[in-house]
Amino acid sequence: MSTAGGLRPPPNLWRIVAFTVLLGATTWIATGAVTRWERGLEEDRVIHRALAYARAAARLTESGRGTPTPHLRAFGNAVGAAEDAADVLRMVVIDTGTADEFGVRRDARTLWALDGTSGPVAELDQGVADKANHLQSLFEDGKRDRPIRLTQLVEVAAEPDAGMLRVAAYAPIVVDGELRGLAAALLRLPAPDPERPTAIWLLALVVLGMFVGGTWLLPDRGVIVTIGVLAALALVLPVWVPSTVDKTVRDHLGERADDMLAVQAKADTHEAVALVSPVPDREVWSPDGALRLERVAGTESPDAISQGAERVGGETASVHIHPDVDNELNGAFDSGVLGWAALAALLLGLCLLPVARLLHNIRLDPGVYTYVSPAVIGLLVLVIVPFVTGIGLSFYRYHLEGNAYELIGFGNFAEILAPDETADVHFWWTLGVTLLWTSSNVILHVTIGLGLALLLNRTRLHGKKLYRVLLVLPWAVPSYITALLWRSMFVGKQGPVNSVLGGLGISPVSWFDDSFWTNFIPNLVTNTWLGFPFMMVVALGALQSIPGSLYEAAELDGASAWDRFRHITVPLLKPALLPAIILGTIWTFNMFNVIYLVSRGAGDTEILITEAYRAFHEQHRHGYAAAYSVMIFCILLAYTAVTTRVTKASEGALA
Amino acid sequence: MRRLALLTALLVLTGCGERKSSTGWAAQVPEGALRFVEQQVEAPKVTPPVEPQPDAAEAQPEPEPVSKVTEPTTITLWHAYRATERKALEQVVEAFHALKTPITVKLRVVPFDAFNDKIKVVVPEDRGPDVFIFAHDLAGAWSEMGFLEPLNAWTRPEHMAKFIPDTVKAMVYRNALYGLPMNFKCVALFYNKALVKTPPATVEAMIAEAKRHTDAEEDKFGLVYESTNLYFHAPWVHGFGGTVLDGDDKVYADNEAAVAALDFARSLIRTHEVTPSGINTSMVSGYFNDGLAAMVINGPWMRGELEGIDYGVTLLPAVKEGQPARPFLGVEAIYMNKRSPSKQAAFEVMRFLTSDAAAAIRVRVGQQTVANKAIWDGELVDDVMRAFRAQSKQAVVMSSSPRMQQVWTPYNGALLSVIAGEARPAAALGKAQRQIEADMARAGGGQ
Repeated sequence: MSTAGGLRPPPNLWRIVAFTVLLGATTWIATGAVTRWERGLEEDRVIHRALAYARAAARLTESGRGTPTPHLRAFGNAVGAAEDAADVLRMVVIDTGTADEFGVRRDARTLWALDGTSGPVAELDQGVADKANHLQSLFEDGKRDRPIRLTQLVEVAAEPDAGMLRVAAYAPIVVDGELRGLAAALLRLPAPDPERPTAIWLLALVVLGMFVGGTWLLPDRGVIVTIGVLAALALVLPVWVPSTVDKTVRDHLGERADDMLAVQAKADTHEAVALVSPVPDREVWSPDGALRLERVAGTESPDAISQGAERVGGETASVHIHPDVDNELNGAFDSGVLGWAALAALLLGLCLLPVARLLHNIRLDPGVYTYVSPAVIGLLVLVIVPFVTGIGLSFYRYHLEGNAYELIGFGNFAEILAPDETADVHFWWTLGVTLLWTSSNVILHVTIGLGLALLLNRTRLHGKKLYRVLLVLPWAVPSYITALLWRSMFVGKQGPVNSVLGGLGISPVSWFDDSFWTNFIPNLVTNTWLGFPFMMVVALGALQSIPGSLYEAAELDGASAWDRFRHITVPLLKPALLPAIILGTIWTFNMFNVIYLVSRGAGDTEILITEAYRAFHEQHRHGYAAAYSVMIFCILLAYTAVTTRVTKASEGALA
Repeated sequence: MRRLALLTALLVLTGCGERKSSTGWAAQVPEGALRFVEQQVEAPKVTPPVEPQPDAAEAQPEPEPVSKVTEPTTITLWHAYRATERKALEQVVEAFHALKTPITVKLRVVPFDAFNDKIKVVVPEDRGPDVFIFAHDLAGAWSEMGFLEPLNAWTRPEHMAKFIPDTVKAMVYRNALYGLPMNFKCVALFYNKALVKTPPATVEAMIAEAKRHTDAEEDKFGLVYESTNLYFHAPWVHGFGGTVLDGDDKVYADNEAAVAALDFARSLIRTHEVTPSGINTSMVSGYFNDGLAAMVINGPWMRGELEGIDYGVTLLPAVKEGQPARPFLGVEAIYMNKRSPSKQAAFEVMRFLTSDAAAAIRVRVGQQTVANKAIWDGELVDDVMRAFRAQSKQAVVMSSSPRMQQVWTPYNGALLSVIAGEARPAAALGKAQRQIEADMARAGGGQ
């Protein structure tokens, strides 16, 4: 804040304009977010309706033991006559056909379609047949231990031109524990309601009024007014937002349950004739236990419901929709999440004051901001966006089957920080290795780099330029080439490194076996080779900027060579070397190439960054890998914060 | 030109039926692509295209429409080939262009290591290639991510009859056919003819032969292979009756057969001392080229690296009577992007690239071990290729399940700790087993 002291405070009018603009922008963004969220709820509702249609068709086919019943046809007629018929684009029941000698399922047949067709699978429905094949295989697995996730039964895609969404839902047809086919329903998500939420705009108006009034009453207390307004917001938002959200979500769940029950009822009227016993796994869809009980005049206890949802295999043999599925789908609507969003909006609000100052500065000196804008935009696209995406990803778990992300909050972090005993290399060990790796490297880089710089700085050294070029070479060669070369030098009993050791009378070492040091040392050697030139160049530059007169004067005063080094060279090198060391530390901390290419992580020499890579690529654990990266970021952030403070302190002491 | 004319003739012969095809329900463009129904001519006797009969072109009647595509279409094809294999592919594409279909194929080389990453990024953004060629072991993951078009409706069982059955099996994941096989790859036993007179048929014979050529002082070894890499170790596992990953994605790192295999691999290094430890891929061909290794285990890709060595290739030796060592069989295949806007054209390109005529070019120019049966009845293939073909009959198709990705690192770790370190096979494999199972459970699906 002290740095801003020199600036003229903006006049009130300007302040109000800036505030209005910002508030308008924030409100606009918030409105967009809320609209999207409500659209998401709408989509969720259609997904569940599609599931209900597909499931009803599947049940009516199951009751015919795999062949469509007259009741299915009657149900189809009822669907066609219903008021929402326009949104039901297609329904179809597919028989998966038979596997040929290679296990490829062929000759799938359409058993029934809403438009009355049957026979070979039509072009339009080929996707359903493909899906059926996939599910068939998953189902075989699922009967063992893997549940089929809801995300695998639903597909959402944008319609090419209309800007609408098509929602496809699939339901397996299971007879006697065998999957016989697939029922599918394709629904259209109606175009969005043009109505926009107005409450946010009203709130914004109130806030603006408070601000303008405050500024008018207290013309010289801009800061106090802003803080007062924000405090008022902080009081209102945490109460208002969660309650509104909660109500919206509850309404939504209610409508969703109504929809589904209506579809089920439609099916039930036809099914009642055909079926003696009720179908067991209907509870699976209930959005949450309590709500379900209210609506279905409950004789069932929540326990019974969860058992119903868990039931799998055996005589009821249905595809197991995991009970978490609803939470998974509702995860984004969790009022907790919106509470966080409100908090984030509040923090954004706190930025209002600095942003107002920024706007003011832009007005004062537009040229400067024009010049830096490409860099700022570049930074935004290349750094900020991936960074924020990464942080967001770290709260999810990725499921390869179904290619879906599930919101799990801090689960990834918990798993990293408290690894269980099945984890092969756990976080704390890897962190220890990384710290050892970084510190030993940086010490070696600085010692060797500084030593060489002192040697090269001697005025009477011949061929200095040549040495300098030679010593910078390791830095100039791409690091992965160097890493591969060093690895091949270590490998083998007769390899160059072992030959040299043999010459020194040391028996050959079996590098890259499974012990820690035979892997760590080659890594360390390689990275030292890669790292010292940078330190040398920095030190050399700094050394050359030290005036020779200082040394002459010291010599006249009778200072020894050590004294001169200690009291002239070191203090004057410090400002140049410290940033280089901080930078070098960060580079080494994340030195992926060397670990990945030299030891390849053998002997538990993985560092954090390579571990994150392996989690991402070998285990398909995107969220976990992102969480690892966030941890790395936090560690480096803490490190930088501490070192910057220490550096500042030492500079202060120097002055 | 003659060659091209012959190819044209072949393709016309192969003929086309038609049927509307298919896109996923929720997919974006349910455009009326045509399904190709190939009328399989009985496996054509492939004459080497270098020496076509004179007048082959004139002998054909007026060409019927070769393609169902009427609009000019560009098909982008990604591959990771280099050197001669790349040249072979370029010639095949040239031959395709000579057919004067409205389809133009644009080739793009993508580095092998970057292939998966690129595909994962560009395909969901609709910037991906229409078709691409890659090893089959990632097909499972790609299919789960929805990148690959199932070919069930594009092909009939009889169309697949021209391929070696195992290569087709490798293309099947979750009941769907995900690609057309182009080449197969597996390891076999290379031997230096100057040193080894009769290639060994059993491991006992192999060890005895290897001992004659081992002199650790001079860095000479009887058998050199990458013993800490599961890919090269797998022949022993299968030989002892074990499995790495079964069809239900169950891993068997820790069972009797796996332990016996690792015991055996260890004995080659520790007991018999005929195999060096600490070997990597490039060292294998180095040892062999320098005449330091009498026998090595490696795949057909090593051929390009050998110079001035008189060598033979033979089956891997049997572990016991009736128990041959069986390597992993990998298949290189061509896949169709599920989001390609021109699937009919893409399929026609795939069909041509896997035709017997194209395979003939790939054998001749690229020395590839192609998946087309007919080629193996012809005279294009040399003895080395035949040896790999024979080995492929005693091979185990590598799983294309995404779970396989989780097996490599822990399993290789176990191999390393036993072969280079002091760990006991049972303990190391037990640890790997637990690790792999835990990783699989964590990676989703399960809890």
